[in-house]
Amino acid sequence: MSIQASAAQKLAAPGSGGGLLGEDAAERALRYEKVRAAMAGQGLDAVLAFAPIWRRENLRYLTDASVGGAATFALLAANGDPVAFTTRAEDAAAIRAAGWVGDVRRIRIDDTRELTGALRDLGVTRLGVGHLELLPLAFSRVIRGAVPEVVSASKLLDGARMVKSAWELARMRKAALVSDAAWRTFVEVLEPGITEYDIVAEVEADIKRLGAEDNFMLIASGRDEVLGMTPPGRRRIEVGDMVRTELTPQTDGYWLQICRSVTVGPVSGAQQKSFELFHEAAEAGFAVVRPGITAHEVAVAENDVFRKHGYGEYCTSQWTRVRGHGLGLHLDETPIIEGNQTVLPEGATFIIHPNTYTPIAGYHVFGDQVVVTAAGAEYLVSTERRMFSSDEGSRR
Amino acid sequence: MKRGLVVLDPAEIPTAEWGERVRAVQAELRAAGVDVALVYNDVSRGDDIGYLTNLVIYWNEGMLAIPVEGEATLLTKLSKRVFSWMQKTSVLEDLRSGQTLGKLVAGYVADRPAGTIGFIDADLWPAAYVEEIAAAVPEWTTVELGPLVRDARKILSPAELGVIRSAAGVLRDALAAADTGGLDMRGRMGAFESVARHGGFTDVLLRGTEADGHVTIETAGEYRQSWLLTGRTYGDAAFLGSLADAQRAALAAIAPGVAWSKVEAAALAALALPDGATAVVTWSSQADFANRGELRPTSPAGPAAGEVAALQLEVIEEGGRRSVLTDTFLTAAGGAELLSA
Repeated sequence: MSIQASAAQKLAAPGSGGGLLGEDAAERALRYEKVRAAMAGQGLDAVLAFAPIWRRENLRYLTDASVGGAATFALLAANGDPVAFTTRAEDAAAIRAAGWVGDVRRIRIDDTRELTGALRDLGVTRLGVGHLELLPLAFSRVIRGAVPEVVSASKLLDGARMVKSAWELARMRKAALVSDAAWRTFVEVLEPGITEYDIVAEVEADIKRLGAEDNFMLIASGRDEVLGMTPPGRRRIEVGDMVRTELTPQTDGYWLQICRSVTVGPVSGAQQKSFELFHEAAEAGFAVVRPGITAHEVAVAENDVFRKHGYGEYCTSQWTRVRGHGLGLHLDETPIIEGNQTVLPEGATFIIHPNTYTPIAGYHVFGDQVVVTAAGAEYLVSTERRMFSSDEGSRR
Repeated sequence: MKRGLVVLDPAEIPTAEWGERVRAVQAELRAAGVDVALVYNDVSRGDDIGYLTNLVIYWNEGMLAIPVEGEATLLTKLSKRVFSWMQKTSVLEDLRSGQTLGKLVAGYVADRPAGTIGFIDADLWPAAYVEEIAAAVPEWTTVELGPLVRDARKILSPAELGVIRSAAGVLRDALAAADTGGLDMRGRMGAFESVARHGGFTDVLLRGTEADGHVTIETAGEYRQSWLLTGRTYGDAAFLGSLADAQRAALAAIAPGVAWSKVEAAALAALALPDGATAVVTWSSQADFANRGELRPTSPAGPAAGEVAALQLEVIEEGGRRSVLTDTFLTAAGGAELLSA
């Protein structure tokens, strides 16, 4: 059984997904209905979700399966059951075990007959491809040879995934527990002398034991000279450092991010002042969230706090990337930046993180993932929103 | 996302070797009449750029421009804010940031006479990027090239072999930690992660399945710019012991240039399969470990002399239950040398 198909009852549902239990079956039906409605609106006969290793969110959305192969596809036509295609044998078993898609076929980079044959059998004349922009030439040639018109369905699928169902939010709340635990580990292992990569090793081991499938994690240690975040190096942590991390375990498909900074030893006056600025900005972003707000408006609320305190220049691309971003089955969805007029409806999930450099105490990260509710924003993680210190306790 | 140790250590790979690797590619470009070659990598397969520069594409995508003469240049959509880290952890000096790959390439060739641009490993390039770049430099001819860098990565230099032996030592410890009694699948994964990442692995890809005490864990671990593959099934099925016998038989049959069918036959003869089960014996090159060889057409030939590869024995029982034994080995003149066990 695949680790993702943890519910034993899913194995009772080979084939078309018709044997899924109530809530799972309803979620599957909801997703296919959303995608098919969007397909009809764009005149598409079918959607083909392409998943390279690093962009598997659409495949997951249509199959509820975790895969690891180099190239995987899910084909959803206007009618009938979906079909999946994979370059990896064990992914075929994982997709079937998830219970949503029973017809899974093997392909190779030099043998895609199963895929092109299915497209021809369905009589597809206008195909939307999710992640068409990343589709390798080897696959692009054969797909374009099998279908008269191929267009991108990346935005279509982004739109379908944006609003999370109650089923998805239940999974995300469970995933948030792993993110909370990951942060606790991060603080507990921190002590002078430990290297950056040893901190990551401790966190990775713990979250894998808790069931995380993957993780996105950046780190930076030092004082006010720190300008940004990177993978870890051999640097050893020193007293007086502030250690920053964006921690994003993926559990049951969903990425749940938490951004915090922790001092090694007591919090200095500058570090506390920096925290208060970032906390105020994040709170300002949180306060404006309501159904229908735009990414631009959230970013403005955060940046206005920096401008009010005289740090507005540090909200530009010279110093920072975004003021947050969407998360769900992918970890970097629509950016929370000024100028992005994307509407965030009820059920959208994203992180508010005004992470940037300032001369107060160097690069600072602070933020939490939220869901848009009718009443405003709701935090998904429960870790305290405060400045942490390694003095609070160590496991080492 | 790469989140383990990233480091450029001249004690491991001599500084001169990086330049030699680029010059070897340039010799091939010259022979093919190509003025500028482009290498595209993403976070899931960043090894070509890593091999040429030690840069780790830790997130998203990157493109390396290699002129037929001179130094290579990184062209990326990532912000300039990460350039200091990239320069610290690679041999790159020239890094350029832009909004689109097409504009970046147009800017890169702007002061060069129009000639021929080659897309290295063209089959794996996103078709959309190939079209975008070709449209951005209409006065240039574009050609598709084969996997020049992937092929160059097949045979390890003495320095690379030293690095991979260090990695193999860490990996053996990680496997031993995962083999501790009483651990469930997640516990085994956590134990493996801990040892591998404390040991300096840059990336650890784990896949696991568990059903009624039959646990299979497959790993792809990246250490510096080298990869190692392993796969283990833990359980009490009687035939599992014969997987080790089959592996020994296969390794004994491996020699440079051997036809893979001979290795397969040797392994299958030693395997005690349960009724109704099927077995598959495959290999993939270290150059393709990031995607387990799925992006290279099948070949009837086995590994070449000096090639590091993985041998995978896979058994599927009648009910679909899967078991594996996978290890990484070096194809030496005298036969296969097991690295990961």
